[in-house]
Amino acid sequence: MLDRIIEVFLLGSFYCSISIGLNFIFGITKIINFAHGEILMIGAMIAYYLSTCGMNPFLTIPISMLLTFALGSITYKTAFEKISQNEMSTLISSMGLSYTLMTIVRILLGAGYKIISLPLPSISFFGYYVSLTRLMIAIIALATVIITHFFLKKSLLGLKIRAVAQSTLGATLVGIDVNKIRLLSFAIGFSLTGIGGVLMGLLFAIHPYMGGFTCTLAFLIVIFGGLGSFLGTIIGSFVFAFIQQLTILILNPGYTYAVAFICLAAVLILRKEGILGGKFAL
Amino acid sequence: MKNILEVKNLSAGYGEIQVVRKVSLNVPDNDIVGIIGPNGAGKSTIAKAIVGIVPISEGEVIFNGERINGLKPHEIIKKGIILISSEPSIFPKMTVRENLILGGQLYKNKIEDNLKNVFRIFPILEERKDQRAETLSGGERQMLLIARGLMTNPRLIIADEISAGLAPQFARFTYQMLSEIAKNGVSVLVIEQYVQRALDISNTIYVLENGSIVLEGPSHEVAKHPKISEVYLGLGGY
Repeated sequence: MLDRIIEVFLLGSFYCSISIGLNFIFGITKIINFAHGEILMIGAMIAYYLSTCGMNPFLTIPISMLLTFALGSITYKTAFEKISQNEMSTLISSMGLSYTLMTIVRILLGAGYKIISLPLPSISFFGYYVSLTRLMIAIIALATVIITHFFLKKSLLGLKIRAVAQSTLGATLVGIDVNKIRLLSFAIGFSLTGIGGVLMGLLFAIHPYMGGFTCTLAFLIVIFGGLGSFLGTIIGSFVFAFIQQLTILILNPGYTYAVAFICLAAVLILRKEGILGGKFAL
Repeated sequence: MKNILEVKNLSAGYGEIQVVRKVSLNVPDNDIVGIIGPNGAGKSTIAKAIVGIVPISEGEVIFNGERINGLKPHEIIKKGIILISSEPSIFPKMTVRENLILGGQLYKNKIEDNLKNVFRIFPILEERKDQRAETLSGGERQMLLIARGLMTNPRLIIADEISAGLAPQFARFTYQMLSEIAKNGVSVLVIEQYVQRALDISNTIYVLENGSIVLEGPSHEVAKHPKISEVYLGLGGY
């Protein structure tokens, strides 16, 4: 039983890291980013290529954050700024971005699978062996969530970001440059996704198409927890990991995603905003 | 008296729809001026055009001697104009204190002093400082909006129907507060649908109908005009 609990902790933390950026962007800019999976993939690619140069993959995180931040800024300026008030247009634009990024990466870096080699040992935990890589991933993921939380709650920039999320008119009337904050938030969201991408690259084979399913997974978690709710994403991640482990325990590992989607549908029937949507929004 | 705000032949609206046409008005320094008119006359559009939220198609807005047409809203707010809107604009999930800090974010080094000042004017907000803004009553929210505006050290307050939806005692209190604030060197442009409230507080009144100024003058004279006494005060008022 303990091994399942440990697994829920490790998986849940990892899920936080791959979904937090998606909800951050939606919560503030109301843009549904269908290119989320491709940003994760780019983060993983950055980790792979830097690690082939001899860099410890964990140390590639700041570089991945920086590059994805820059990508987010450019993307917002070119593809979203003018249409940011139109939900349907931003949706189509993000879909276009998804295919564009996937195609560019395939042309430039090839479609082959890439693996990051990180020979770390496992450590014993009450008689169960836990991979040190996965433990590090969980710690980094949770640290990212906690730092982001305090950044939003305690810093003046975080307050401004939350202000724009809660009332665009109010933010305008107190003299906040709303468009600049939207741009920054979009770029920070990409940057958070860049962290998730590096962590994902340490667990899975890296290729240009890896973002598709992960994007679906991130959407599932975010909708489950509540669109726009930071705490909801964390709860959604761990509940999703719990459902997976429960399914493995009492049904069959092959049913995990099907059961998770059924649970999501059930939650949405009972609460259309997800578990915490609306109540604990940014 | 020097004018802090001069609006000259202002036309503004949404897309191709011109809501206000060739409106001119002045707000003298340290004075209270009112704009009255029925629903849909374009009162709020004038306010939003002054602070850059609604685009100006024609005319000029001069604040403190400087033309501010075309500036972005945050640039205009920084110059010392604040708009207290009747539309919901508090940050509901934030505490009262966080709302106020955001009001003062343009002057980071003065935030603590400004907080002390607004808590002195609105002691109830100090009592509620750690409460989420969404838990405040309607009157307290209005106080919060005024206090948040004061955090920006404004030279001009545009109060757009700030008594809308308030109980009469809260509405009276809100206007008393505006009068007090105006005595301390802040000019006020009051936009009101309830004519008597605007007449009571303002020295000069502009009457707006269908996007144009149809009557203007000192409040006591405008109040005696047949149009106002019969049409507005006869049917409207408190």
